[in-house]
Amino acid sequence: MLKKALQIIDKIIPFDEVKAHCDIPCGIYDPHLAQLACHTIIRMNQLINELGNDTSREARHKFVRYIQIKEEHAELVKKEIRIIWGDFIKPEHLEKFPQLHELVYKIMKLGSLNKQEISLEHSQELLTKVQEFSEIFWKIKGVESRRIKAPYPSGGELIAVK
Amino acid sequence: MFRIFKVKGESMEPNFFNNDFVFVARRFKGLKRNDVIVLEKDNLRMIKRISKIKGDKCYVIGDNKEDSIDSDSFGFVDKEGVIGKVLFKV
Repeated sequence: MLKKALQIIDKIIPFDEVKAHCDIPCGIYDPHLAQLACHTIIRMNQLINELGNDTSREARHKFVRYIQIKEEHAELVKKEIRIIWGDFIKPEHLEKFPQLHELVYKIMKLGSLNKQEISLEHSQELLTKVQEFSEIFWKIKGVESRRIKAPYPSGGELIAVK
Repeated sequence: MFRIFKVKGESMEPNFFNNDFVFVARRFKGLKRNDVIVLEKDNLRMIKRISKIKGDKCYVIGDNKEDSIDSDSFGFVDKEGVIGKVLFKV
């Protein structure tokens, strides 16, 4: 009754609004894209290594494209993890998983290192760290996850939801 | 006195829903943990719940923790920015 009356008043003279503010209340967070980006970086390093010392026009063209994709995907890893860390991770999650800050810091550093270098070792290390992050993320969400063989030429594993 | 505000958004669910009306006391005796308040920060008027109080600052959170942009994102807020305390909703 009172609500109806307020709704009618609101239509005539709108009440001021208070934001129960969300960035976008989608609740959709998933580190999967970051994992895929890590596999892409690994693959780019593999392809760059396969070029060897070929300095032909075609090889140089491929080299530039591989570097560009590696650069973009390293940034994508950093972005995706940063969003989960900044928007989803709450203090109570940090109490339960105190290693999270250090882990995110390492992912950011490794993301940059993967832009600076052509290093298969560092791209695999980035994937390892992102997968550690993924496992913690799914534990926080209360969702069971498992490691599966990645169905990509980059090899390695994927953290998949059961 | 009190003011009536209309809630917009989902960050206070399941206790306050989009388009609920809240009656807000502009004069109140102090603030305590778990009080729901209306505050203004960066020209944005928000409804949040007090999680901690430290001197003249409050740490506010949304009841819908997974989807709330709150003190976990923007830190403590000054008590000066509190417009009022929520008395009840309709």
